[in-house]
Amino acid sequence: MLERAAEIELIDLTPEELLARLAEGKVYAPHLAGRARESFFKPGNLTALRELALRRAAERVDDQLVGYMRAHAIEGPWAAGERILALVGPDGLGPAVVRAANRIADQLRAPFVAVTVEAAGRLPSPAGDASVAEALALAGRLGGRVERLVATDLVDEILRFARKGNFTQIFVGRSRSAWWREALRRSLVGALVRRADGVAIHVVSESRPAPRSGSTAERLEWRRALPYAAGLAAVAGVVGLATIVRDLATTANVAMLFLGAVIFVAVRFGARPALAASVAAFLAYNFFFTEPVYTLNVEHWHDLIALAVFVVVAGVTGTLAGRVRAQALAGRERIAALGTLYDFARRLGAASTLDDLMHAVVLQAHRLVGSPAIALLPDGDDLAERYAWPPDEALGDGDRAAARWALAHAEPAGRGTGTLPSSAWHFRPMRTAKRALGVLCVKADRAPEGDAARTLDAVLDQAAVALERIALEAQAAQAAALAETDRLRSALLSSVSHDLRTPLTAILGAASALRDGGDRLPTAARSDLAATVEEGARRLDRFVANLLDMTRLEAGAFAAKRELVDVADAVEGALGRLSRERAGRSVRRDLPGDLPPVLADAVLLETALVNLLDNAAKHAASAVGVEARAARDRVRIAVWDDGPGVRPEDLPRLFDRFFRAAPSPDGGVGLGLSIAKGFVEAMGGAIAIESPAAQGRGARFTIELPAGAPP
Amino acid sequence: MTAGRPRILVVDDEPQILRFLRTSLAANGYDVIEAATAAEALRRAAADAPDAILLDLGLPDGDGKDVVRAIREGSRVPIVVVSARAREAEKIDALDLGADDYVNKPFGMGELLARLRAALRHGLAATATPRSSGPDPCPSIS
Repeated sequence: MLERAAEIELIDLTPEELLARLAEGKVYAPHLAGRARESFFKPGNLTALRELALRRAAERVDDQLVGYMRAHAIEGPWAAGERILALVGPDGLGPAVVRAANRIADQLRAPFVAVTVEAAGRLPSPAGDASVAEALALAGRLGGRVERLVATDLVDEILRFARKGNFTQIFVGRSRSAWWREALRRSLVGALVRRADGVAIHVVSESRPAPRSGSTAERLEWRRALPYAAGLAAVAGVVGLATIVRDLATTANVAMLFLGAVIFVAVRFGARPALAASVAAFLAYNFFFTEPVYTLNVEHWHDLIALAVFVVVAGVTGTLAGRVRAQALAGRERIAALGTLYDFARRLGAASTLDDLMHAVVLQAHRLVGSPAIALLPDGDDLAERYAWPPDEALGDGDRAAARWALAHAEPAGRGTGTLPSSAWHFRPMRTAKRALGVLCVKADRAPEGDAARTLDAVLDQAAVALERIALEAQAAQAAALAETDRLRSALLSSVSHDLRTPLTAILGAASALRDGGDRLPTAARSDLAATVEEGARRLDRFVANLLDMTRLEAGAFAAKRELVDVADAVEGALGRLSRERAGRSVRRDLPGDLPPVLADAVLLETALVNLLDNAAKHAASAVGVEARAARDRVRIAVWDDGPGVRPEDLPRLFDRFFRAAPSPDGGVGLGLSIAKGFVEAMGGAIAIESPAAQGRGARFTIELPAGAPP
Repeated sequence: MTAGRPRILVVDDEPQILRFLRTSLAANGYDVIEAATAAEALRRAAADAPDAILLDLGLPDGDGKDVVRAIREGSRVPIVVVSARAREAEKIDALDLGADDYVNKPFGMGELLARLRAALRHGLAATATPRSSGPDPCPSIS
């Protein structure tokens, strides 16, 4: 109930206060209050309830907060509720990290997200990739969300993602490697701890999968200066190194050392720190290594040239590195857009109704453009608003005209276009190659442009395809229903003409022969003709009864009784109702005396048996049988014949209305078996056919019904 | 053709109809042979040399009109179609293919016997003055 509430207002009381109010009769009438206090309103229960209520309200408010931050593009962390991020790397620790994060997330009832970050432009190793995939799959199974990021700077990207998602705790794995490797490598964990403000970092190490308790990193204001400091340090290092080797190397080689340091800074930290480092290197080189030493003067021409070349090379390197970084950033944005589209496509695929679809489209457009959006679909001659976000947005009459124009011409209209630009809305059609199927309106100051417009068009194209799909599905379902109705109608017509005419012909013919022949007819012939009349009348009666039964079954207009029915009685009753012609063949009965009665409707069971026996007699070569067996709490009644059996391709449709398996020896209606099935199922039983039943011939229908108490 | 009781081939897939036709025809002095399928009808028409055929059109293994066409390829035996199909086009088709008469189901036994007698008379006339080929002899309208 709480999940569906639009708003929750929390009124918090201490248990003591509540008990006091209870005692004053403010909660229940006084005579009820005493009982309530004794049974449920114990301080322990109340404290537990209070905790539950507070937590539910807190979760609710947290959801709203995250929604608000998303809507207003505020980056976190915004300390409210817990959100947990698990970093999965190719080091094989991924599953341990995910499990640890999930454990804490469970305890805190906090959502958790597993993230893997790929280095831009570097191919992951197959082994590492497999371990990442395994960890992400595990996170998915444990109920976490899974994200993939691409970055040049791992730490930067992780922190950016964590702030955006308002994560409060980050889980990261650290493999144990030799101390010298640890010292040489810039440690991800170290960098995260240094740079993550307000986020707890949990380190999961190799041997101990349990998280070591988190340490909150100190705030480092000067971290932006770090690349520059690193550049200076690199230059200083080169000065030291070059001082040691200056006697062995020429000044040109020393310049190469400085250039190496600049390139290192460019690759590692980007253009600006590289430029700063190159200036520092230029000064240091000039100061320490060109004549006159320890001044910034230059004595030789060749030193001047070397310095000039050095500055140019350093500048080009820095610019190139900057461009690469910029491309990586752009690539990341494009991947994010693709991710959005992919996500949207998946939701469209799942949408089976127009409302689901329009819901997804409007929310997606709203997210893309950042302004109100409404989806319009044709409704008769007009356009109807199917979904709006925010929900209170609505269109004016002039806006509707623009929307109709956009639909009719399959072109954008409204704000930012040549058509009705005075409207506050911008209208974009959802169109396939053939036609426009709907219109999306966004309330924006100007028409979307560039990447946003392209993404929006991609979204609308997908929406149009989905709309078409839903429309085609509806058409196909309608056509199938019409075809089925048509088939049933023609089947009914041919059945009525055949199954009414045949007995009528027999009756009329035999009756007229009796009248015309009169006393001239031999006694045997007269009784035979009379029997034909009787037989035809019975057959007509059964046909009409079947039609009525079918109608009742279809209308669902009868309630099966549940009474104890003796199987032998039902079988005898059914045989009695069968025609003399059928009864001419002996029916072999195998009904054990100790058979328990079945829970069934006597009339329905008898009718079902009549139909099965009638069918068996029609197809039998020489023998028809009925037998029953008890099987635990069920009773199985089988009706068999030794006829040619049913062709395998007819089996699936055998119980369909008006279906007649060919060859049909004396054109039945195609109703009997379908009625038998309907009746048996209405009594809570099951019916099945087995054919061939024995030695490649025959058919065997089995009714299974619940056994009643033994008599 | 036998000199004594005329032999009638009754072709119908409905046991009920076969039964009362058998009884009535036997009581009226005919020998009755039966067939329930198109294939059996052709076999008996060839083997048993009936004097006339009462033919149902809706047979389980084919249409009675194909039976008319097949029989007419080699025999002039009178054929009376007995069918529930009441549309005019059906009757025209059957008669043009070579049937001698067309009786709609349901029918009175008196009428069927009268039409059978008429067909047998025409059959006798046709064998008495055999015609080589060409269009069907005009069926009598009784």
